[in-house]
Amino acid sequence: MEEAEAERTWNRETIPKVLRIVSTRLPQRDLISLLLVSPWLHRTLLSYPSLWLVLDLCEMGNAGNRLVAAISLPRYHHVKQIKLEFAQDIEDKHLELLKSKCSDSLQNLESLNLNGCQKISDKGIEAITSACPILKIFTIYWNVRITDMGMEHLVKNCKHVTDLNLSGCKNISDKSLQLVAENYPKLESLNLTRCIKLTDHGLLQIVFKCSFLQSLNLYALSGFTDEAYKKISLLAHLKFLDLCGAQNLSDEGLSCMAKCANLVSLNLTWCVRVTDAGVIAIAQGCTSLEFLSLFGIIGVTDECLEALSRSCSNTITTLDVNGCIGIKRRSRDELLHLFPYLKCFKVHS
Amino acid sequence: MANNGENPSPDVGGKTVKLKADDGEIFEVEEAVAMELQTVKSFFDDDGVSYDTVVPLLNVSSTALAKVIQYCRRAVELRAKSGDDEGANEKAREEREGLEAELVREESDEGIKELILAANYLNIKDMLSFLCRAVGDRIKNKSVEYVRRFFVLENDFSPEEEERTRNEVAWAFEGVDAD
Repeated sequence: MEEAEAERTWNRETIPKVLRIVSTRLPQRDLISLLLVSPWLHRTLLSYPSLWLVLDLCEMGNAGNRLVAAISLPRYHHVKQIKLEFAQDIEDKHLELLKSKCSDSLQNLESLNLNGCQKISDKGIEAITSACPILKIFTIYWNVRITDMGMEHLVKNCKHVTDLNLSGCKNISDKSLQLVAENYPKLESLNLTRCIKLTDHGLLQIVFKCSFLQSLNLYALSGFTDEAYKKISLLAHLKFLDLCGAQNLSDEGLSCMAKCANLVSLNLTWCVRVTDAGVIAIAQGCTSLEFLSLFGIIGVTDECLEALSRSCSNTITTLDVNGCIGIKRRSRDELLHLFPYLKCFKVHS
Repeated sequence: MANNGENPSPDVGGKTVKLKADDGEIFEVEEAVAMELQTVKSFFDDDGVSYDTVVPLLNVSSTALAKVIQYCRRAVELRAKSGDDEGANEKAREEREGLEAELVREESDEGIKELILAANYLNIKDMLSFLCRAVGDRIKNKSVEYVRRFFVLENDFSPEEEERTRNEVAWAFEGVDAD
């Protein structure tokens, strides 16, 4: 008698509660498997809208068709995030199909990840962006087909972008930066890794107009000069700055960046013209620094480490001075002596 | 204070509270530990209820209650250990996670359900949370039939409903072509 009672209590009260908590922690595939367990469970899970806000098709084959099939389901009508990183077989035509058949379901989309979707071109961008007006996060790394035209579509259709990742999109030029600068004054994060066509002209547009930038990634861009680097000082909210490979960056340019007082992470790997003067200026201005790489810079000496230790010894947890042959005291123990909270000694391989 | 010989009684020093499981067994617990059980806390929040009153927990077995008390006792101790010191906090957190892992590892599926039932009835948020996480881990990557058995659910799909549902979710599984 008591057992039956316990079982009824379990069924009626506990299972929904357990499921509510458990289902939010399940990977997508297992969550969807639960829909097949029983009609009651099916209805219950569908009644929790928070479970159906993310659609994950990363690395899946036949992703274009799957995407269309999934978005057609009512449960995804309020989807907020679509992840297609390294998904295969997704092409412009699938995005066009979404626009023509399912644009209602994309009205709430805030985040779109097309990283590695190398078949998508400007046409696909035009289609998808026209269906998601409130998009905030757009990331499409390693796509060499998209051009400034694609960016024109993005800025025309999506007025609220705060995070933009164009890493490896080699055909992007200064024109795109101009479009971004003119349309996204509230931009917070911009990744331009390896966009080798960019010049000072484009970067200046960004630093003049996107004053709320917190993260700027210029990895492997050796074409910029101090003319643009000096103006990075205008980005008062900057926390993360990657200048790996900035071979033209001088001490003068770097010293200006010391005005970015909120800087937490700075990558100066291979910034071969930099010497103590520039790093000391940074030490004095950026007292919240946690991550710093000086990898490969032979012009810096122990002096700059001492300066850094005076102002940032409490905060620095990552410091890469491999290849800095001008620094004599850089064994693990010697570094820990200067920076007691140091945990990571190697950034660049 | 009455000392029930079947469970270790705490040192008489602070106040204690008596909890009664569904089979009548009485557990005497330190007040701080008893208050971890929100249901018990609410019981005493009512005006006029004296701390000498035995709290009847009719829906909790004595096995489950013993384990709950054991967990809550350790949790209260660990919380007392952590403070402003990051190192101490970290250590306390690790110990608590170890405690949770141990509790879960030893339990059968039936045992976990019983604990979930208890933690739910007694309204112990942290305990319910890690127990549910454990359930998530157990059903991850398992078959639909396993999940049915675990949650004691009938498969009352009609063949047509089942077919339709399978088609609807086909897109999510590799090796199955979407329409």
